[in-house]
Amino acid sequence: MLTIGEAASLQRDRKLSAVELTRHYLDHIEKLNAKLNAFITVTSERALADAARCDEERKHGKVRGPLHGIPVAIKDVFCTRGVRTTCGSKLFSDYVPDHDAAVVERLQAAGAVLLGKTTLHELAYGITSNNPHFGTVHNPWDLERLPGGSSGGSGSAVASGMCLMAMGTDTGGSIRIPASFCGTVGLKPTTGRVSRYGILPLDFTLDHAGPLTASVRDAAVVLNVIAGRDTRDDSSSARPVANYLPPAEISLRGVRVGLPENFFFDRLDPEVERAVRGVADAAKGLGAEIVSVKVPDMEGINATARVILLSEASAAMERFLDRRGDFGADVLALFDQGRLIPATYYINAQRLRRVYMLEFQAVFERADCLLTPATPTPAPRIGQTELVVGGNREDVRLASTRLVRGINLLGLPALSLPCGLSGEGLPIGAQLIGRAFEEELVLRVGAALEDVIGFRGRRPPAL
Amino acid sequence: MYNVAPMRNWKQIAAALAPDIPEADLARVIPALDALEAVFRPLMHRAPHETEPAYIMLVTKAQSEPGDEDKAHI
Repeated sequence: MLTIGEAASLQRDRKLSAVELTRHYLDHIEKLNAKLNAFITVTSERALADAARCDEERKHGKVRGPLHGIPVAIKDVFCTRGVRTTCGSKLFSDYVPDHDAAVVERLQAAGAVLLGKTTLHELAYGITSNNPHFGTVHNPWDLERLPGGSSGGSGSAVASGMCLMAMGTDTGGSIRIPASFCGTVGLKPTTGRVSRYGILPLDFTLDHAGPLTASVRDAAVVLNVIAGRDTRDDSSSARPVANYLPPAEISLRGVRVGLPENFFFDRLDPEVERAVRGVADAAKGLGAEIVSVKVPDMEGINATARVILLSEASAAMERFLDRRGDFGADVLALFDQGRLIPATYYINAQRLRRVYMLEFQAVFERADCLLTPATPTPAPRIGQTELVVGGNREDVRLASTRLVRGINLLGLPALSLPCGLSGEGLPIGAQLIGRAFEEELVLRVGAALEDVIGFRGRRPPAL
Repeated sequence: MYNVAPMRNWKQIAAALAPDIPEADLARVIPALDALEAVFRPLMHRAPHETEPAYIMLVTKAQSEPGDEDKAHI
């Protein structure tokens, strides 16, 4: 399985052209998409035209950026000029934007080739990617399993080698859950690090854009391209953008990796716990100091995040909610809940957000980053509504978001990286959480661990 | 220990605010709202009186000062 770095080198060394690379991925999509349903729209003609332009430019010594000639996919919530953008919804099935999202602009400016738009959970409001309008997305590791969501198509596409990178969005885990279930890397940056301009919103204060990739270094390359101030997004930070690409050789000497003694390791599949604690051992072997930390009330943080999400999502979709027949039952139920939540609850949830953000700062006085599982179990089966985890019966959506949702409320950067396979051959995801705007550290720790974990390059045997 | 007021009557709230939600659909969402409220309602007392909401702050050019680049963040 190629990484962005390898594909860029092959082109630089003239061993492969952008057109050849793009044709390879388009052929792969044609072969696999009927099984996986990772793509809603494939932009073959445009991709080949973009690739040909990249080759011509390279011939004349012009290389746009680190993604020059690199085939990528975009979750179908990012506006793409002239290419339909459905948001996985009947409401937007014919919507063709006249503008690109800021992320799309930056990817294209860096030379990326757009292969197409990936399938998602309807309106990005769920974790299964069972889309009633555009079909079910399948996990490449086991076609009977969920890829996660809502960026399920992106996770499935990267894991099956249909593209070198796929953009996702994350409101309550929607990059990290598919990354964990599909065995890819998934990065949710700090709030405000990446512009939300041109992304059809699920939520106004919890949405984040980030990449799903085959390696941590690839995620860093993409973040270098997409991060930075955008005046069209009021929440976009003007804080300077670092170089996020980790060095070739990494020592974790002096890095304090926090292992939460509460919440994150309660109620886990035993194989997930074993795998993530193994990552802690690997970090120690690289020179990191493992410190035990107590985290604030994550159940409270999750409940607060849910009040905000329910309220904001229902407000965002208010003008469409009289078209009840055009929604899937699961998202309609969430919109109905949000319509009934009192304004005082929402405002108090935003006040509690400030309280929790301040409380969490104390955790990062003892540790430089936290290591946790990304999801409490590997991927559930398609159609499964409940899990049994640690002896408790849990709703699939609430279980899958339990360890990731609160981080959106706190605004912190978080990286999911694969750290092993279960006995059934399903990927297991670990999560690294950092201080606000410390993506450089999170990615450095992630890259160091990825080098010793040895998961990178593994392909789903089912394909 | 804070006293938690009785649960809200979601059915009555829905009748007033969202009468278009069919009874069967309402029956599906009420248990979820009850469960969420049971966790969330006691939390509201945690914020000290003077705590402001963590809204995104907008700063105009005229208002901004050196070092204010991240005024949008708390």
